[in-house]
Amino acid sequence: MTPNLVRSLWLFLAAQTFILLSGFAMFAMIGEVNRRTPDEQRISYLFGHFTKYVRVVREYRRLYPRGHLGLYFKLCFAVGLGLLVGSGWEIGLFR
Amino acid sequence: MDPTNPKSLNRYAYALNNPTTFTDTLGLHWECASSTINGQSDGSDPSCTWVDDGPAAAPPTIGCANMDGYGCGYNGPNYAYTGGSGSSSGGSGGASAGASTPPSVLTKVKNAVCSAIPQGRTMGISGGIGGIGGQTGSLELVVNYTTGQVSGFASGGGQVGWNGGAQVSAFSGFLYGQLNGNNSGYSGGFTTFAGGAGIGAFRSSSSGGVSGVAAGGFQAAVPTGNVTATGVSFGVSLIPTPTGTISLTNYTEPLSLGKYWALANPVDLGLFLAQQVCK
Repeated sequence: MTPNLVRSLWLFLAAQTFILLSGFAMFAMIGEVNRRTPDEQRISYLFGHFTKYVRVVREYRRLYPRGHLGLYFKLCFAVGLGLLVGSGWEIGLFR
Repeated sequence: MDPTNPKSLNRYAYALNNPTTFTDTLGLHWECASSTINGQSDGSDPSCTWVDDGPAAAPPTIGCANMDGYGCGYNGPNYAYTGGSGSSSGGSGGASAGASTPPSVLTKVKNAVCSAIPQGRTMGISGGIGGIGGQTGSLELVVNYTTGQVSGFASGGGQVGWNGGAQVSAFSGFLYGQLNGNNSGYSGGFTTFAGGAGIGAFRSSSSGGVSGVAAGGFQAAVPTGNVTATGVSFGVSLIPTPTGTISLTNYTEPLSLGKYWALANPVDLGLFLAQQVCK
């Protein structure tokens, strides 16, 4: 394995860690939102798509104005994607 | 520039402090048969004259490197010398002396625009299963902007990363590289990075692919970049978490689906016409 490939793998693992952490933050947000939401309006833990992410983040911000989970989610996601791009860069995918 | 003559360090003085009047188009330098006072001439010595260094005497960015006596002229293209005390002409502004005709601005713009136009577009659906590792595959249409050829492809392979357990997505991306007239450049192995949260982005590059991995180790899967695809995707994952995966896939040979019909899309048609103009 070349040094670039090794660096790419490490970056990829780091990226996955942050992406998974952002997933945990999303799960936590859904749980917090559901705690204060009537049964019929609760958000499912299954199936994710863009509008659902937007709704979860918006509802969490409305119900917990001082909560930090939304920030954690965005931060982990951004760092994870950045590391993912770095991983691709190391093996020449963006050059 | 003469390191023993401090005045030669003053590039403005080369044009006698009047760079808007004097221009140096030939790249001459001031040379005296007799010795100069303190390493410089005042221009009145009859043994002094302007000597041509030849086109290769000065590097393009320096222009008037051997300006003994008057220092080096201003480095801009039009701020150089036409003659000592108005009696001599010559001198180069730097970049234009002895060089071949540079491409016009129009040509540069055209080259830049043409290089940015993609060779084609891919669109299709893809799916993957497995949380940390699993299988992935896609069905794609490829439109060639050079020949108008439309081809179908199927792919299959493995992926690692996190895709929420399972996901399906529709995607579209532009293709660059050696697509070939019948889209055969899109066959074979590809390495793909993808990430997103419902809305995502991907980057694929041709590589040794899965079969290459089996035959020659992981090194064979490093992207070669003969064909690259960059695009966006919209999808649904089983679990609402962001995704990020790397996949190694093998694409089938192109299935010919005719020509031009996919150009009904105004974006494709526009890029196709632009590609024809650039050919």
